[in-house]
Amino acid sequence: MFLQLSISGLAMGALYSLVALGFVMMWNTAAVVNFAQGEFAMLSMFFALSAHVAFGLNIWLAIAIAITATAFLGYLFERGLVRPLRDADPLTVIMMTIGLQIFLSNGAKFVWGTQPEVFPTYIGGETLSFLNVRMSSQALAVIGVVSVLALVLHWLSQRTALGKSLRAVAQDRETAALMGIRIDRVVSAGFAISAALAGIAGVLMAPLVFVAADLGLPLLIKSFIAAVVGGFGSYPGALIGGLLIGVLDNYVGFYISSDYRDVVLFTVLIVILLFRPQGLFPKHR
Amino acid sequence: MKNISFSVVVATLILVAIFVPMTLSSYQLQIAVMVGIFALLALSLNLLSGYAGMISLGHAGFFLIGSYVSAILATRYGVSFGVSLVGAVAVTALSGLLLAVPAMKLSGHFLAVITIAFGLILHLLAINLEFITNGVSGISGIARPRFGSWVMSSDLSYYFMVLGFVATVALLMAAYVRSGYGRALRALRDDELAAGCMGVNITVAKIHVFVISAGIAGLAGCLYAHYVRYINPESFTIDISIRILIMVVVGGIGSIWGSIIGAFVVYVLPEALRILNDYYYLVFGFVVILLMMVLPGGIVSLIPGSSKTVNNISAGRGYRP
Repeated sequence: MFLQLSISGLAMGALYSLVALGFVMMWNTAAVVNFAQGEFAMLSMFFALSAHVAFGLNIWLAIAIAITATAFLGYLFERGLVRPLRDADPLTVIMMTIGLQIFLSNGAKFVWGTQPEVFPTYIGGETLSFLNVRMSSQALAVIGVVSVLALVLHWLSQRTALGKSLRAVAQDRETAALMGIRIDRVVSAGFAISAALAGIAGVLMAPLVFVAADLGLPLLIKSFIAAVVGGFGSYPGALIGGLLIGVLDNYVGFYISSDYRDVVLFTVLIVILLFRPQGLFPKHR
Repeated sequence: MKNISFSVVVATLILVAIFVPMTLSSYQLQIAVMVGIFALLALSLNLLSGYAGMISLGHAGFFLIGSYVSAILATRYGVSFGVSLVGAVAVTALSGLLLAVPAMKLSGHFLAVITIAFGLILHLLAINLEFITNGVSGISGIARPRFGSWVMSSDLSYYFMVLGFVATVALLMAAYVRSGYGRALRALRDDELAAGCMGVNITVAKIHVFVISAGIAGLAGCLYAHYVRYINPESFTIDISIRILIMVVVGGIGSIWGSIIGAFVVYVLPEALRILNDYYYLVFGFVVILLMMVLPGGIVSLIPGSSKTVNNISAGRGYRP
């Protein structure tokens, strides 16, 4: 049972990690705390669902379209809303993203209705059995995809020109500009990648939950907490913070009390932050 | 000149607040009372975020404590309105310490997440601690205030009581933020380290501001419970916390008038948009985005002379992790 809980917890946690990674990337590149990050994941689910069900496209094609569309949304978000507010007060920017969160979640409600919908399982529906541990293949696939993505992102940030520019912009925007980095392009690319990460999280999560327009905010809150507990601004921190929350959530729900699941979880997080005010894996420059 | 036009606007607002409600329908009057209650909540959060620079995304938690304390005192122990009010304010003010302690160590995002967790925990406790809160079914049958043999049953009289509380709190808060304590808070917001070096006792200042802010939210909670007469945990979700923050920022952070105007606009706008049926929250979200793009200083910055009067030049700057 313990292993089973760990695996499903890791799967859920990996999804929080993905959303949190995108969240942290937006913070690092443009100092934006994006409350609409969960909505990007939610929209991606609906995009995939519509492309597959309404337009009858192949599921993998539908997923690819959904992720691309979400990345494009992230790009539009940067160009249309974030860039004009570059010199604004941080709180103004936060409030703008909160407005966007309200707009997108209610827009989705308007377009797709309020009825939760079932997303078809696209990775073999059967559960696998190994040493008496039963695991759903979707959960295993989530863990696998997120692990690979983490490695790809690491490679991207350490080895490619885009990754190096992103890190330079995060460290010092003005100096990066002086060194000949085209800030606007780099930030746009960063936002597209962040939104794509949320989009991937969305399509990975879709078969595990009922697809509904109000999924965004709870997802964002868990991911925000994951990013902060990990040490805000640090990518490994966001990754581990997400996994920690997913696993802890499952253990508390099973071993302690399902009613008080979130109460215990959040109390643990407060205690962690009281003793490690910088988070578990603070960003060091 | 500028101060004169600001005074004219303020005087008009005060006259409108006193005389217009007498002509309103009962539905509009209900909204007016709720605007007053949310104005108290916005003032309470403004003290914390606008003047002391600490963002709270869990303010509905304090609102919840105030409401439940007065609901339980009124229904289970049958105390009078005055006792229930004092009890609610006192307990909620004390609960402010729950956030003041982490706020001493944390700031920025770390504190924001703590406040989110605080609000969520209280909401969940209200659902699950059934022997105290009666769970999801909530507490009903909370009496309207009674003074001697006169029961305050009409919405108009309740409105004037709420208006009186809003005016009192706004005046006291204006005096507080102008005093040495208020200047200490603003110093804290702009630079905690420098404020400490200049002799501001940071620990005491943070305890003060959290206790006062929570106390005001507790007052709002008590007024709410005795007004709607039935409360359940769903009235105190994170959506409400976010709504209160929107009121503060849309109105104009760091401005007392801004909070009151913000509460009015943010509460009335969705009601006014109800004719749009399914669209109305969509439009509401759009309006919030638009306001932030074109009017980042909040609605109060439209009033000439306001920024001089309320000194909100660097308000909200504390949120710099």
